[in-house]
Amino acid sequence: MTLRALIVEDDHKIASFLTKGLKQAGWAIDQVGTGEEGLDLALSEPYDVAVIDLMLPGLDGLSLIEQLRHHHVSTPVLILSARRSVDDRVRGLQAGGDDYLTKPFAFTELLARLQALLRRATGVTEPTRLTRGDLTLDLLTRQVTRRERPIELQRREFSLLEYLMRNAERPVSKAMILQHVWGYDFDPQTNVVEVLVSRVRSKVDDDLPDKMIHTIRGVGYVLRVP
Amino acid sequence: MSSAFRSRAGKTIGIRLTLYYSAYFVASVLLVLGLAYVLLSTALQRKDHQQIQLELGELAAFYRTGGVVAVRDFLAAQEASGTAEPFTVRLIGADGTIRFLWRPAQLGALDPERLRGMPVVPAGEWILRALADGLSLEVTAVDLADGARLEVGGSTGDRDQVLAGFRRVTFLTLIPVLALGLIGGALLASSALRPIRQIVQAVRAVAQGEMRTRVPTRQSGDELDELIVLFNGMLERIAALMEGMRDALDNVAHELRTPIMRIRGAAELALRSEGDPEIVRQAVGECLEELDQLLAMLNTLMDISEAEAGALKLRVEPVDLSALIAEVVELYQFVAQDKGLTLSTNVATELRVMADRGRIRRVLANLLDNAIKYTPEDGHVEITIAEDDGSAVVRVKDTGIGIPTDELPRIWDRLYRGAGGRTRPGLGLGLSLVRAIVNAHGGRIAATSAPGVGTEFTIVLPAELSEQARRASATQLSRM
Repeated sequence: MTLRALIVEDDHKIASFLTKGLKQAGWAIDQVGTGEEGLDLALSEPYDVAVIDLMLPGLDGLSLIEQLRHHHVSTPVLILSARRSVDDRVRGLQAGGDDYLTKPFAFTELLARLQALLRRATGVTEPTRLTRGDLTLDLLTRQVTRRERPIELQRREFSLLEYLMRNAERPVSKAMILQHVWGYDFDPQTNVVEVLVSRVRSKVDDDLPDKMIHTIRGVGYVLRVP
Repeated sequence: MSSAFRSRAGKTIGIRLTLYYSAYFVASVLLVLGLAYVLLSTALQRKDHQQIQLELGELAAFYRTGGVVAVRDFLAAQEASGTAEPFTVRLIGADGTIRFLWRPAQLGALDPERLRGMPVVPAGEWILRALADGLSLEVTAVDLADGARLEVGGSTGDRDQVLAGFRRVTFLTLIPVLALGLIGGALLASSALRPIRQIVQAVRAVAQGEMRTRVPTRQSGDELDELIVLFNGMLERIAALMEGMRDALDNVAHELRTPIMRIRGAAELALRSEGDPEIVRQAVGECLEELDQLLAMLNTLMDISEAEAGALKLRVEPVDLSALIAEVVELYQFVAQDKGLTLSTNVATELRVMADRGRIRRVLANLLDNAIKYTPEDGHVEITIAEDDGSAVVRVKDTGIGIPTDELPRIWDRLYRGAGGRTRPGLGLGLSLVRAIVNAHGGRIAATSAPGVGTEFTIVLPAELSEQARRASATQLSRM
């Protein structure tokens, strides 16, 4: 099933960057540049998710979201904004947004957040066991095996591998890992993420010719099934 | 235009002060002279009156013994002997007829007919009559036993002359007095306004960019001296702030240049790669990494300036410092392990403070980050907490390369990085952010260091927020 997303963004470059990226990921996209157009479309079409910029000509993003919620449209909304203060974040979520992403952002992060929103909206039951290729991770017993061979992981290592496996074939950024594994929203100068990834990589990929954890320069890390 | 206005205003004050002073001076002199005039004229009048009354008494005695004849004889004898007093005499009978009239030789200008026609003077009173040009007569009278009235008058001429002289002298004195007043006023105004003129000059120089200008102090300890000291202090502070800003700007420009050069280089490489996807991928990845670094630096700079401007809004809640430290230590555990460092804490003691959890965590992470970065292999990093007089004291101690004593005060500067740090990853913004956050909590941070031995950072956080910080966080909460 093709996912449908509405993008309300007046900056042409960002809008086309989003549209192209999501189309590449197999989504169907409608993109408009004003709040009024966005409201019309969102009220008439059934979207799976909407990406709404806060600073729009005419009807601004916050009012647009409030209008949607007022009309009982419950489409999950990801807010885009150049403002990164906690206050703005809170205001956006209070208006009815479901998540908040600060510009500039990594496309990987946007995609991951949209998918998280969809998961939440569709209420898919969580699997207790993740399997990618010959790698298995059991969320209940916290046992990890590759090619039937058990791998000992510490808490953070486990959490990182789980995150990579959930996002298999999709790159995740260092900031996303930091946020997901430790709950940190800032970038420490020393590369704690790099160190953690290399520990996990040595346990998962060492001694095997077909590597699963890859570094993508400038983007982050990805787990691929060989 | 504004400077012309300012200087004109200064001159107006000078002129006004001069005029006030000279007016006051002249008025004082006039008052003193006027008082002297009144006293003098009263004294002279009293003396004249005494003499006239003496004559009146004498003549009345002659009248009693020998009637009109005795009076006339006495006056004639006096005149003949040259000892006549300069007094007029008129004797009016009980029937109202004038029985005797005497005009002394000294008052030759007086027309006897006018003397005769003068209205009757009531006994015991003083009447002043102008009887001829420049001749006024002051007359008093006494009632005699037979109902007659004896009047004696004296010219006020002598007295008037003395007083006129006095007035003339006064008038002549006024010119030098006025001159003295103006000169004194001008001197006073000029000396009173000198420091103000100097301040005006200094402000003008500063406005033209001469930031090093200072107003000379006079060591007089008066209000203007205080103003000058305060003014110089203000200039000092402004200059320091401007220098700090210039330095920060220079540093930012310098810090921006390096990643921008790398991005440029990578982009150029990608363009010249003739489509080799691996090279392009590498180059674009490098661009993204450098851009993320730039973004992180920009965000931190904004956080610092927000915190330093006092605009940092803290989201205060009770924070278990021990748990927070344990959490941060855990974040760096693998990194420390990789580097062969031991990382230890004494977080057994539970210690609660009112603080912004996220920001204090950032402070601790920054300090630990630094400690690990600057501590060589087999070193030791230790975080301890203790309670001291209602405050929480956090110490981050390492056995790192240390900071030279002369560089120690500069570690809080934005973008400062020690000689050893230049080549290492990370931006020299951490410590100024750390200090800004600690200060926003009403706390203090200090560093001691010995090169080659290690560095110790000490943070003192009040367990309860100060009133000011509490208010800031209250407005924050109410806005949510």
